[in-house]
Amino acid sequence: MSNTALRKAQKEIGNWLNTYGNDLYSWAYYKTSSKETAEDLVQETLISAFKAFDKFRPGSNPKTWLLTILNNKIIDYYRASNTNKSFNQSQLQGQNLENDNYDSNGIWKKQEVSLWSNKDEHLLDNAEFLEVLNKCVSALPENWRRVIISKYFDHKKGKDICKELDITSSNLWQMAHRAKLQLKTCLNKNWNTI
Amino acid sequence: MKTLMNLAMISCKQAAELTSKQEFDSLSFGDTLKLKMHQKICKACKQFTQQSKIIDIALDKLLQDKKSKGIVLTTEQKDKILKSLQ
Repeated sequence: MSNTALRKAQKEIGNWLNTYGNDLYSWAYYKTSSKETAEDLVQETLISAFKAFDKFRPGSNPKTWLLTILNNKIIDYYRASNTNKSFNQSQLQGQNLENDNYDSNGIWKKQEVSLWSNKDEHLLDNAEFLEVLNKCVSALPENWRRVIISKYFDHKKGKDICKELDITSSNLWQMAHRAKLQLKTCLNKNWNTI
Repeated sequence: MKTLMNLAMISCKQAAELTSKQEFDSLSFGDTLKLKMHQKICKACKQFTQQSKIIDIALDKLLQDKKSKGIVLTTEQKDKILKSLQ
């Protein structure tokens, strides 16, 4: 790029940062649950956009273009942190979780009386309940949390979640199931005591 | 007959797994039948199914709400990003 083109690109990227920066930042934050990571990913996205600025077709939507770049960065980030170690760890946690919930015959252990049920029609409008749930989601192992975020935040289909997280379809529902068991246990523990 | 019954009986653990699997994959005819039979006779699983539904709706509400709110970059953060472009 010539100096003039370079300055033009810089100026345009600066404008995009002001216009779309918060959307990109929010998106990256909810996909990674870390503000530092989200900031890094936004920065990397704009650097990539800057380097590839001549590939941007004038008249097309900059936000769509930036989000495509950002989503690729997020996938790279997932792949990099999706080590065998974290998978084994989540397998182990899954085992403990199952021992907590079922006896050796696979029958539910006696449940503590749960104070949240579908009889309480205001439960889902209760901000405190949602806040407890929020804390429970943050406490999930990272792999499981990603599955939950992809399903409920992005409303992604099973096969797309598998592709994004690089997992098989049985991995997917097993993780979703364990996440749910853990959320149930967490709600039982923390909602009753408020 | 007894073996047939044994084949059809699944534990609560398996029933709960099938309940979750169902959200992503369609179950085989056999699994659907086993799950339905189990749910008919098992009260504890009925509670899990209900709670699972509540968690479903609540998660959707919580995360869609978050999606609409978003977070904001500070001026310092923006400056830092702009500097990295030079």
